[in-house]
Amino acid sequence: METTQTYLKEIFATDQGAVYQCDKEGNFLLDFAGQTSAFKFPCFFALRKRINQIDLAKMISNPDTSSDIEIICPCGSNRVFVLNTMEIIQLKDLLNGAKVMMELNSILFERLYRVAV
Amino acid sequence: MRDIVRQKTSLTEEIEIILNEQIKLEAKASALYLAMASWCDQHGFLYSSEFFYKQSGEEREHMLKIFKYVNDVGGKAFSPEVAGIPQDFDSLKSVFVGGLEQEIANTQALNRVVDLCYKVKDYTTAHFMQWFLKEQIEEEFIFRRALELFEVIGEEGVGTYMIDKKIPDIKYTHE
Repeated sequence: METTQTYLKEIFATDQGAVYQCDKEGNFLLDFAGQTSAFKFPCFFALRKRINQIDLAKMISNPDTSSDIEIICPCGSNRVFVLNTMEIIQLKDLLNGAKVMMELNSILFERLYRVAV
Repeated sequence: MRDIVRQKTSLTEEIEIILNEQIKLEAKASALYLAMASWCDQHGFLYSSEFFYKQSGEEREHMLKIFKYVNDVGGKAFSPEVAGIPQDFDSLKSVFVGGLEQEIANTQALNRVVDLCYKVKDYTTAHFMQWFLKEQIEEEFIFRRALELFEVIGEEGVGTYMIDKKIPDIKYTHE
């Protein structure tokens, strides 16, 4: 019998967090800033897109005290991210790194496992 | 590890982005033709007005065709924001010149989509886009023929009246 542990695969990790894939549920787990949240496929990529759209240069150059905080309420999640500039950079690295690893996984599947024999 | 990404969608991110840009372009064309229909209606060019109402509807259908395709293959289609549509035009001729320019821009944009499809080896989307490329032959043809009427008939006297009357007769029959 498979345990829950075997379904969870680490996709990408940094010092600040990690992204896991749950093979059973087909969703992703984001471990960041001490909390873990589950995201369905479209919601995970919507969050990544939202984070990538943040204009970091504008945030940094704006002297307003409120400008260095971004509040993000991702779809399909109860979690609210309140991120400062550094955390946005860290989360951006984590999500984009995970995306690259997912693409690599797709390439491996295409080249190694789905090749007709 | 399961290949969840491929199981959920066959679109790469770059193809999804360029298809959403194309959705926006088709929506913009639909809105532009609606503005042209309104201008023609106001200025008494009723046949041209009808022509542009029809063109506007067709562009919206094109937009929906791509929109549904993106969602069908697991991507996310974005409902486009359209702004900056010109509402006034100098003359009936300038309306058709604007229409032809729009169609040329659309053909070039579609070519870029197909070009990218081949670059990333997305032959499914490349095949899907063939219908649009074929459609562009007709679209450009109709606007070119319309502009030729301005040269053949001339705009003096009852010229624009005659041109307007001839617009519905333009048909592409070389499919």
